[in-house]
Amino acid sequence: MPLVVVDTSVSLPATLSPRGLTRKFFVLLAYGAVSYEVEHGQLEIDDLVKQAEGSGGEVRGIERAKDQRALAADRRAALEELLPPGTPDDWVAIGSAPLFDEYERKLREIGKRIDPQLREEDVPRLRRQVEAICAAGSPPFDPKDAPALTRDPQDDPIVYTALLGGADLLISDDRDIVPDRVEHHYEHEGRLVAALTFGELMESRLAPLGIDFDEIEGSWLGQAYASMGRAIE
Amino acid sequence: MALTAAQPQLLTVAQAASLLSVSDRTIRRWIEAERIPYVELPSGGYRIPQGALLASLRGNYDLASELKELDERHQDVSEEQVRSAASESD
Repeated sequence: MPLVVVDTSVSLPATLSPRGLTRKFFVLLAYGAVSYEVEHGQLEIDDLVKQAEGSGGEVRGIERAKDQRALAADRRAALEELLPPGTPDDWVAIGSAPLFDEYERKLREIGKRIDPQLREEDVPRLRRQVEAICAAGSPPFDPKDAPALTRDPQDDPIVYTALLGGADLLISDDRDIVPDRVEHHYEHEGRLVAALTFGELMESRLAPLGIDFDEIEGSWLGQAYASMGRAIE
Repeated sequence: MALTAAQPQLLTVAQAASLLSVSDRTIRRWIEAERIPYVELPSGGYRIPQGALLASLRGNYDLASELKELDERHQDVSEEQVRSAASESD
């Protein structure tokens, strides 16, 4: 299961350019997210119940989570039917509040240049598209506590998200995160993550899997969220 | 590998709100309506599993409609346009 963190330099084009290659990668991550929900959701709840029993607490909201998991199974099946045979379902994205906040900050900075009609209410909607492809999160941390790892202090929480979350890959086209566009390894307190550009990811990690991205439509991301004919409250 | 299904990351209400950039009130509303799984502690506090919280976005918002509307407006936006705007602001 490759665990990945997707930097703003990749998530911005993925959310704002529906026909681009980065969006197709988002479809792959959304497929991973619904698959993760189907395969691990019940295990998470079972563990939650055990932890609650140990602390004298009580678990609630399980019924809805169960319904959502059934819906996730339908969404996964619909995506499986659309995606080229052999598309992996185990690419899992990890997020964090600092990662999502940085996306939002950058979106506010450049959004109007891309879309002059961009409204205030569009910002949380776009942010949700980034949050929703993440199946898991790193342990919460204050961005101020992120160690100095890059040349740009604003990028440190991004790299720290990947390290704390146990990510295998950090995908970024930011020259401060991937200097000289050459795969770079970050290490902190025994944790290691490989940072590489989106192009390098495609070439060295995804191409060998034989995925034909020409056969993937960016609009299929919507299948990961579709109601599948069910009534959702 | 740090991420395992057997060790869900549990968040406080404030941490859950910060993750999704919503108010504490929104998280408490979801808790009251049982729209997310959570643990109610004997102290009366709540803990929310992070993975389930992220997954609940697909049920607590109409993401498909939001995506469709945004994509219709941005269908002619190229990745190069976005990258160029982003690099200008760096």
